[in-house]
Amino acid sequence: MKIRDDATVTGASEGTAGRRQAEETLLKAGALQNAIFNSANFSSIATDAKGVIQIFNVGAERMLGYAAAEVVNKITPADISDPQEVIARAKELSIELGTAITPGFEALVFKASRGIEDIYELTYIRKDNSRFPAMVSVTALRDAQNVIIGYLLIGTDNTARKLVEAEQRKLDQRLRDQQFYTRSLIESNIDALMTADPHGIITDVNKQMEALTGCTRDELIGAPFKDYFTDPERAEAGIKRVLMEKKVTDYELTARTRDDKETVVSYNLTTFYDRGRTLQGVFASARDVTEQKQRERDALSLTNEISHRIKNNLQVIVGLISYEAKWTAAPCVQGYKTMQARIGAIAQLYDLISQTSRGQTVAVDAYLREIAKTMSASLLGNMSGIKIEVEGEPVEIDPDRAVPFGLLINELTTNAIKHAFPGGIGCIRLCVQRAGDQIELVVADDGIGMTNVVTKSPEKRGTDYVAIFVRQLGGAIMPSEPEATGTTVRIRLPLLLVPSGGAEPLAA
Amino acid sequence: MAAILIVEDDVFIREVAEMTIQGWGHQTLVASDVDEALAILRSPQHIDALFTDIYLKTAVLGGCEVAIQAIALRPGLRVLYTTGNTITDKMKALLVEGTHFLSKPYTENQLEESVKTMFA
Repeated sequence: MKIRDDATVTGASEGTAGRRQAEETLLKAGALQNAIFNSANFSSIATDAKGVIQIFNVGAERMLGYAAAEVVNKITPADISDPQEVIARAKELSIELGTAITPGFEALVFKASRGIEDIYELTYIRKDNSRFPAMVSVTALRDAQNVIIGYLLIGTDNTARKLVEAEQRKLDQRLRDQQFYTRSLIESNIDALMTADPHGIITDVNKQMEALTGCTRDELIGAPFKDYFTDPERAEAGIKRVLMEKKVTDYELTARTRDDKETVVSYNLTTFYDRGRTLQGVFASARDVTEQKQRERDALSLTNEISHRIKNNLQVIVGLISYEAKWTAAPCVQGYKTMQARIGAIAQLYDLISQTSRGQTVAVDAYLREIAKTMSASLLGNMSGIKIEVEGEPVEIDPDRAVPFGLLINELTTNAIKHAFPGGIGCIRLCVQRAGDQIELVVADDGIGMTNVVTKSPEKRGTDYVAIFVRQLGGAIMPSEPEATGTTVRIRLPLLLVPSGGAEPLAA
Repeated sequence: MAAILIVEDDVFIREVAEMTIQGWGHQTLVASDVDEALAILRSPQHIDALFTDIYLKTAVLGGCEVAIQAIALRPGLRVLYTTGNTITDKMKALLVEGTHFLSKPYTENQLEESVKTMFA
């Protein structure tokens, strides 16, 4: 039933000023009623005391799909509500208010009938059986004696709000899923992970970090990172370094738990930023390298043991040669010394290989210097007038080729010592340099030159060895130019040497 | 001429070193491990210098230990170390200050130069 438009004309027969005022008031009230009851955005349903619908405005018609005539004096609002919700509401109110409330219209208006403000969500059912969520406000209508004569249920369609809420719930769930995923990644990592602010204060950790430090997440967060390591200064220096360099890798620290259990860890540290590229802190990932360190110690111990045995065996050979030399005629002694120098060259190679941290290459410049030093000591002595100088480009050689390469230098240098300087004074220069896609080894002396040397048959062995080593290295001896003084031997080798960083000429 | 204590676990190397050093007119005493060396160092025998291998059987740095105790027992004693192993930082930290080093394998000439330098 629609409110009548002519309601404002009731009692319009009086002609006093009071009457005009009353008429104006009524006019305003009528306009307000019209606005409310004809609003398409609010469903206004008024009932009698028993709940039977008496008024069903245009908003209710639009939302619910019924014409007023189809519902007025025929049904209650409970008949167009979700019955399950009505039953549930009756049950909840019965518990809340401590009295039995019948599922049905009573459940919809019980609070309002007791003078309690009541606004709640309710699912209305349209004429076509489709549903929509509504926010319903219920007010009891009373007469002059305060007796309830009916109820007014004003509803708004909550569909859009519900959709927004549903969307928000989805987004919240997606965010929670994302957070769970991210957390799972952090927690499932085998490394101890941590974030710290730029001052080195821990802001987040994973379980592995708790295990590494023996502290709980709550204890760690807010504490200084450096406090959990045997060397706090080094730990702090790591944070400072990553703040300067943005990335630090393989930074070793020893973590210590409260009960003094120590774990050697290798840290990778990086800085991280927010969307605006503002520094947020440091991300640190620590891998337990205790076992790796033990393996390295074991390997080093084994290397030392092997090196000790090899060097002792070589020492025995050198000792045997020395002993033999004592009982040998003077002209043959030099041959024994040459043999000792060859053994010394091989021994130096062992040292250089063990000193090469990468373990895969030998530094040729250092190798040349060591050979020169060994030969100077064993063949020349401090008082000798013959000097050996080294000029080596910083190149590296693989260990397989280092032996023939070292022995080649040994033979050429020994040859120069023996034949180039009858006066006992001179200089031998050992040089390794890149020549295009080849390597050039130069052994030069400023002695008497080859034409003046009389090669004795037994000493030709050294020359034979040189040819063998050059062939072994896949190289070639370059034709020598006639020289006024001295001898220069140039040997070209395939590019078996690898250039390394730096370029510092060396001299022995 | 000087009295030199040779500490070397390898019998052949020790005896060749002993003969070589004696050949230069020096007196020699010999020990094959830490305990033997310390027993001699604690004895009243006159000793001018110690020539010790660093790696002594089970004692990886046994020669370092001998030298440290030798200097404590006989301040001013000359020390010459030898080893076939690479000298590590840990090893360097254990070497007695002002001492000398000769790597294996060494020739008679190299040993002679080292002994002369030690007494220079």
